[in-house]
Amino acid sequence: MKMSPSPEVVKRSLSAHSVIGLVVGALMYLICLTGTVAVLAFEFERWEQPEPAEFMQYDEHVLQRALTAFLERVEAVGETVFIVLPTAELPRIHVADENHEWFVEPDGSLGPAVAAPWTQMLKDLHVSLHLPTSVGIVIVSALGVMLLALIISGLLAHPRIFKDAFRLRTGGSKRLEMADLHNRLSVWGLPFHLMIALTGALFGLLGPLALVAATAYYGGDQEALVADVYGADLVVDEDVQPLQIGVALTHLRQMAPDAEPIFLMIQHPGTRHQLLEVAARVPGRLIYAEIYQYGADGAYLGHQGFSDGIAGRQAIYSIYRLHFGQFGSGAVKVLYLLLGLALTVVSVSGVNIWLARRGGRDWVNALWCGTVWGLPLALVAAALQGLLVGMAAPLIGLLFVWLGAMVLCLRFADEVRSRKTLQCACAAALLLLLLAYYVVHSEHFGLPGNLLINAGLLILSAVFGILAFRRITPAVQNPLP
Amino acid sequence: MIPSFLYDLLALLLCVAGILLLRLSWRRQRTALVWTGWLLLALSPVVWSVSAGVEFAVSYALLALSIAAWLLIAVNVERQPAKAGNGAVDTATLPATTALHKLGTFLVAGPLAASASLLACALLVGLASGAESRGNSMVLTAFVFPLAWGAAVVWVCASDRLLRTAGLLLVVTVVAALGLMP
Repeated sequence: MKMSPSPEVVKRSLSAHSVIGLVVGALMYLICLTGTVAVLAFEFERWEQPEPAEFMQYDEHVLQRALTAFLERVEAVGETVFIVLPTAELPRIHVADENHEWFVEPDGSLGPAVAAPWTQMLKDLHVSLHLPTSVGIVIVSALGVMLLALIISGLLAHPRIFKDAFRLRTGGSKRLEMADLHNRLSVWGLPFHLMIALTGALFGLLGPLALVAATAYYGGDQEALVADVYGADLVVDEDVQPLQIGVALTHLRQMAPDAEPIFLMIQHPGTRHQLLEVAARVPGRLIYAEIYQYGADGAYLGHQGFSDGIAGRQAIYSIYRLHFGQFGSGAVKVLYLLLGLALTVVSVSGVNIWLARRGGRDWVNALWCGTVWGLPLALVAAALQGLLVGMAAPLIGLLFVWLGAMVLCLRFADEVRSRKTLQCACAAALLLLLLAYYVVHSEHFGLPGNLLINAGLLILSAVFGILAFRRITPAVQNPLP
Repeated sequence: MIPSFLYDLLALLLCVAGILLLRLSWRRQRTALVWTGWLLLALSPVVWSVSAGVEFAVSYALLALSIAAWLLIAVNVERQPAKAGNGAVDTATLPATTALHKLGTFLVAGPLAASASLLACALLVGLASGAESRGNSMVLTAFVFPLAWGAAVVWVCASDRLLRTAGLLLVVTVVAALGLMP
């Protein structure tokens, strides 16, 4: 039985694939590249702000003192106070509410304020394009849908995709080379691409779906819907008393010895509705955490059921770690980096195929070259801005450099020259970033985590240098970004 | 007791061996090799689950599968003599349509297809479940909604009859909205 689609379906699907890819190409590239770099968000946070104390061992008194100090310092405390506990990725304690956030010293006193604006900018770009979150997250999720549409149309448009599954031809026509690269990376990365697209789409589309479903089935009561999916919020009403964090943590250690507490949530602190929730990772599970609930006196009240509740609750609470590669060992992060980079290459090569297919050169080629090679340079420049002149508005620096790169490429009207210039500039900027980091944070330069990032930056600089100075064979026509 | 890293190693080897067999059988009529390759790939997460649990195991196996295949492709690159392009811009690489048609396609594939998928999926929540299992239906629908919208986008962009496509999506939107009314 022949399963391949008809030539007409192939033709139409290819047309749809091209249209969707071209419409979302630049934004898809931005999302893919920032997402790839954001896999190392924890590492960049530590690198960007190396001063706070790092420690894995703490006792309950430290947390108690930190909470007391936080409540004393903040006049109007929010509804929820978080105490984020040290993990292998981020061995620091910090205490926060909606508007304030400080690191905690080993003795429980408050340390410096949390400030990693470049990493925050990177995450904001990826999650919401730096737009107001409610709007931006929906747009980014719509891009996740477009990635799904590209996967569907790509599969329909390429009936030979499995027949050619192991074939990569280079050196011939640029279009064929790009098409082979695009298709090979796409077909073997399919499980990862599907997962990223679907989980990415879910983050922002849950809201509109919940709004409609709540109106239809819950009389507009969104909290009732949320309770059905995530479990109902526990409401306590008891005399105000000091929180017994130690009692709660001791109980948790006895009840679930394998669970690793990652943060505490103190709901309605200092009121009759005060509630302590301990979020703890469950070994071997992709759920972000199980939430264990305790009264102010440390009495166990129950758990949310993310690990053993309804299947839907477990599934929906597993998408975050899966999307961001925050599970397993450091090797998973390396694989996510490689697969994310591959998806980025797929997004660029898709547009390159179209450019090669149309042949010749015009302003579109130049603009695309500036978009592709300007963004890495802009990201490095924004980090450099932070180190040299403070981190007032890293996004401004990023946009300035990115737009500048596009203008430069339009002015050069020569993709090879433009690309080499931008690659060279990126290599130099990375070296400058390393130098600046050494000057500003010399005492933290060699810390194990920072050393890894610094070595990575050095290698990246060498890669950009090699790309910039490699010889382009004269026979290659229509050079592409 | 066998150390867990040995299970990890065995699972990784099974994955690599599976891909290798698929590569060896590629473009040759060797059905046994193909089936053995797929069998080894299927066994990989099973072995991994012993040391890492089922959820991590499936993720690890799929990640390793991609990387192993790319590595095999990379070592088997075919180098070809360079070919020259003709230097002219071919503007006919996309369907020639008016600006109005492009805007229409955007609106139909964007807001209209999104509304149709959203309302149809929300209707499914009610049809697929009673009040007691609505949480599960909500989550299932949440996973279906992006897929439905994505498929609708492909359909709209592949269609050469935009008005008919828009009309059908509008009908779905209206019917689903009526079905959702209390």
